Amino acid sequence: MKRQAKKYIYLGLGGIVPFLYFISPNWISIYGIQPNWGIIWLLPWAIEEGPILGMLGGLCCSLLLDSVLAQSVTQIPSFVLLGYWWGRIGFKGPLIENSFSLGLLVFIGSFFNGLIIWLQQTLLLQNERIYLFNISIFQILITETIVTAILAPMICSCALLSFFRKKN
Amino acid sequence: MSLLRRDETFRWWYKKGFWFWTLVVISLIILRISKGALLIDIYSFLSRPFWPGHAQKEWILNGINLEQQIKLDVLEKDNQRLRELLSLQSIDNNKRISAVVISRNSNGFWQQLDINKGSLHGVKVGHAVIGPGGLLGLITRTTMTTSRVRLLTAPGSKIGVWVERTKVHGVLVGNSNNRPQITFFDKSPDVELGDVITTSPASTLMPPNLTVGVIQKVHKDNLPEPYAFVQLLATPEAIDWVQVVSWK
Repeated sequence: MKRQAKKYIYLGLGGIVPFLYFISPNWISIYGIQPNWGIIWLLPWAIEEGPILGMLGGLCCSLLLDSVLAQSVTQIPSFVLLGYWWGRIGFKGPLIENSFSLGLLVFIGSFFNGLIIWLQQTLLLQNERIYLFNISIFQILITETIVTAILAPMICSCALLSFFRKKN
Repeated sequence: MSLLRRDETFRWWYKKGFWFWTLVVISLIILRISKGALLIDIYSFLSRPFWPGHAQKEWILNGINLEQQIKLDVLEKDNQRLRELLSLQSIDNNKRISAVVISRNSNGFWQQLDINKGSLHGVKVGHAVIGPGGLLGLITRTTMTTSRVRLLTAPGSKIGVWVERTKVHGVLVGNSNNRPQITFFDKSPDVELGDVITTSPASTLMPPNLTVGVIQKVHKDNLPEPYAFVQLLATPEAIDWVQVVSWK
């Protein structure tokens, strides 16, 4: 199959990300907390397609996720920034293919995304009388980051090999 | 031989008979004083195989349950009639919609459920959703065939509640875990651990008197308002069927 066609297929696969949240398989979770499927999808796309398309991919993915997970907070800023950053790394840096690098990038990305959500939930939504540092949200943030980073190297490596890189 | 044996018997009786009868009489006096405790214990032990079985016990328990159910129905009807007389809100029991949970995100950042009934079935935004145990959350969005439920534990979720025992009002605020926080309006609320929290009858957004949870931890000295943590009775992780409740 041509590389371009594979790219479009991968783009289409982004459409199943919201359904993964609907299905929310319990066997891929820690204490019921699911990995951030959007981040896992975004990394291979941004690394291979560069900062501009990475940002666009991040925007589309976050819009899709906001439509199914909307609770007055948004993932758009973090996804766009991550798309841009990963795009730059992919274009300007050395070829990223080992699992540790992929896992580390997803770990940082997932933590950053969770941090943005946490800040929004803490500063914008919650009653200021409760307390600023909500430990429950912080626990969710750490758990989601870990479960996403554990799962990402496997899925991202497969995605990179199957959809973007030529076989030797 | 027989003569010899009779002599021996007589001799035993002659020697020990007094003490034998003394012992018997003392035992009987003790039995009398204890009002036959030993006898009834022995009877209980011996008659154990003939006691009524579990079937009879269940039959009696069923009877008690039925009686309590009838009493509850009568009280609910009475309560509804009085609420109507006072023009207060009450739950419309004829408009309870059963629904299946089709998607569940109750542990992460997004504390929500999706159910399989929507606007076509009469579900509207703001309707309350209850499960076994009590209130789960409120409908925040409906499509034609599905609805989204925002759980009480979701950050930003706020409902008016009161303590059933002392009628102290407060606001229950979600904070992303299974123990939402209730902030009281009174400076020194009469609240204790284990008090049951229900939705406030004064609220115009919620049906009244739906069970929410129990008080688990109280901070009475907090300024400016005291607060407490509430353990919810309905657990969204384990619920597959819910009911959407409307009120009038």
